[in-house]
Amino acid sequence: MDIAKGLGEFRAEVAEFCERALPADIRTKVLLNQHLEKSDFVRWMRILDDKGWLIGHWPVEYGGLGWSRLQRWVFENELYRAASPWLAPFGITYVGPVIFTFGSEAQKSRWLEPTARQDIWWAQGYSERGAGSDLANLQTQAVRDGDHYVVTGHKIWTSMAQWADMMFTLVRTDPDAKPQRGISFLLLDLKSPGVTIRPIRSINLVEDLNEVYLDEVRVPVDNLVGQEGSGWTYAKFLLDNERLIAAEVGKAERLMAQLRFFLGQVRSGGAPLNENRAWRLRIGELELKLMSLTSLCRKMFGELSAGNDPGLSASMLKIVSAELLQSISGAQIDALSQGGLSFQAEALVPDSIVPAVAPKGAAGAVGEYLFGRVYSIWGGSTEVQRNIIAKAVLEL
Amino acid sequence: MTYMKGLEEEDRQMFAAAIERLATEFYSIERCRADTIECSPEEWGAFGAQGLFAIGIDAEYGGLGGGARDLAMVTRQVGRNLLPLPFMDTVVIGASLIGALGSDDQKATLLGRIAQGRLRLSFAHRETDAGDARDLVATTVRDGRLNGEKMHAMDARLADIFIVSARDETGVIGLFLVTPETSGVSCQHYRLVDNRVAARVTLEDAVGVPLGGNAASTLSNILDLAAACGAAESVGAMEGVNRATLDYAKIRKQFGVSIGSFQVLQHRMVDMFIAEQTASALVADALAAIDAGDPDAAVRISAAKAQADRAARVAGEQAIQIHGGMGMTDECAVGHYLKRILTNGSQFGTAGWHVDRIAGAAL
Repeated sequence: MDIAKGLGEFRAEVAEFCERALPADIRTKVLLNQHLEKSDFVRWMRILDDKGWLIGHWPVEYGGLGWSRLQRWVFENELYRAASPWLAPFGITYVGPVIFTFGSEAQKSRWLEPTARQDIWWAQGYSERGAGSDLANLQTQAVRDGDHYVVTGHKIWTSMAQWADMMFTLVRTDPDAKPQRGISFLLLDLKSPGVTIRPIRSINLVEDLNEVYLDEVRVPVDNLVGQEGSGWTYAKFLLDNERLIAAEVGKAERLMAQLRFFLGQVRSGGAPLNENRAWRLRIGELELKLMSLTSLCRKMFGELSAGNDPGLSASMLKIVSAELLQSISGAQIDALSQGGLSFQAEALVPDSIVPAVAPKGAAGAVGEYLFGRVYSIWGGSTEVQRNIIAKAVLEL
Repeated sequence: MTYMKGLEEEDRQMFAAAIERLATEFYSIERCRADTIECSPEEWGAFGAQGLFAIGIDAEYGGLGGGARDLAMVTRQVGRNLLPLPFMDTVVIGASLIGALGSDDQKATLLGRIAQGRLRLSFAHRETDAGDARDLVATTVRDGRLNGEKMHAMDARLADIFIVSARDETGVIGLFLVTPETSGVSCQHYRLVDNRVAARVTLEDAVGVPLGGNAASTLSNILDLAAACGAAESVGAMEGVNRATLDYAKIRKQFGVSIGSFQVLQHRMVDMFIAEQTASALVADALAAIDAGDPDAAVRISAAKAQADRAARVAGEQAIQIHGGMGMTDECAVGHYLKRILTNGSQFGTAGWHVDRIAGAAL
């Protein structure tokens, strides 16, 4: 069944394009959940940009194709089903739309094109040690000094900051205002003096999360987006976009395919697990969850097209999607546990010569399970999303 | 098989105190964070010097006696303190197999050395296609020579002797003692999810010394003992992870209050506590059933192992959730607890296998 009338052809076109244009080495890394380099991400995103699709969701006047959210969702799912790397959203989905929606003409002409081209890699400077779920409690200060802001503070959980050129960041410009009112949205050059980036090793042994220390970093006033003190509005606009793309049906389908592969490979009592009745039921249960998310997405994106507030759908889809992805990788762990749970980190690097002790992709699956804990934490935890729905939808 | 009566209460308390003290000395999160975590000879020696490895071994051979409950007292602390102590392979499995199947001479020479902390064993039984099946052994023995491939042999790098299962030409499963330096033995050591190290042991015409004759029923009993002690280890890990989470929820502030004041997190931590208590109760009953030789011990062991594996996994996952971003880091203890829980869950029968065995007894 097509997700929406008229999008069926588009879907087939994306699938056909991925089949042809996604570089084989990158596809293999994704299928095995191996570590991707910055150059892998950029190479593929530029291929998509050449096709015009990378910023298809941007308005035509800024180089996009004016896609609806539904079309963007269909596009990304087709990509992830085809083992595309995650489209790093920091530029194209997070800060780009903030700039073309709230930025000045000068900012649009300066930042949008290199952002679309991946000439700039953006980082997201939101969370702080004391401001996670309670983001409005952020303490990083920006003090005006002539035509600059002097920024001092600390950001944490900054994904891929080690590769980033710029960081869009929330700072407190008015310490006396109510928490949400004193926040501004700045574009900060990470090559500036006073910036220190320290990697954080995650439980999956990868160092993609970072702490960013800001010690009297000078940011030109030209890099303030919108109005001083209105940063919270832009931040929420961005978070809605962040949560909407969390509905990763395509990725869930890829992980399900991988689970079926493991069930064919792993044996218990000499027979593959997929011959086991209990595993058949488990697969059925997971397919049911996957179908639920897909149908829910179709319903929500339909309502969005009718002009409803995206924030509420975004919260719901993020909760359901995180739970689904975690359920699938949890099932992968159960399957792999039959052989004793190895974690050959060597296998996370392509062309490892170390003989594998588990099915192909097992180490990556363990890493995905571990890192996947974050799906219900980042971008506003599942608990926070439930609070949003309780208040705003159910009016509790 | 018969099990020895438990330790005297006084001895038990003494051991518990000794383990606590040593755990404090040897446990640190930094060790868990290293690429791999193995029990050094010094650490092994320090635990041995306290007489810990004499638990479960007959006094006749230099042991202190004791039953399943006493062995599990140690594994529970191993879990709670994330120790890399290969107590399971050397004492719970190794010494028990030697005690049950060994000749007088083997018992006299090997058990005393185990009790003194001078001998480490690795149990090389699992095979690639076996999964949960306890008796799928494709490794062969012909004229005392072993051929086959074993997976998931714990602590093989530092063990002095491997205990290898193999089938003879009549299909009977026996156990064989093999030293790592024996010609025809090769090992590939690999990291487990909790950073401990296991090995694939390849045997090509390797000479093994028989440990008794037909080992099938003893093997099954000892794997049950190991499942119960493994469940105790997961309960220990769950105690550790629940404690860490509770402590964190009290000090971590968001929205101006401690996150432990949020009802949704309170209820979740209550559920984690109930699950811990339930698993702990099931493990206690399973251990008592083993020590009493109850006919329903197998079902009780399965109940303990299934509940401990599942409840501990949920607790570990929720501990990360409640810690938020901090829980995602390698420097935070909760992730290491989850990894130990996952490893335990992959050994001595997964939860699904144990639930299936409960069903088999109920139908």
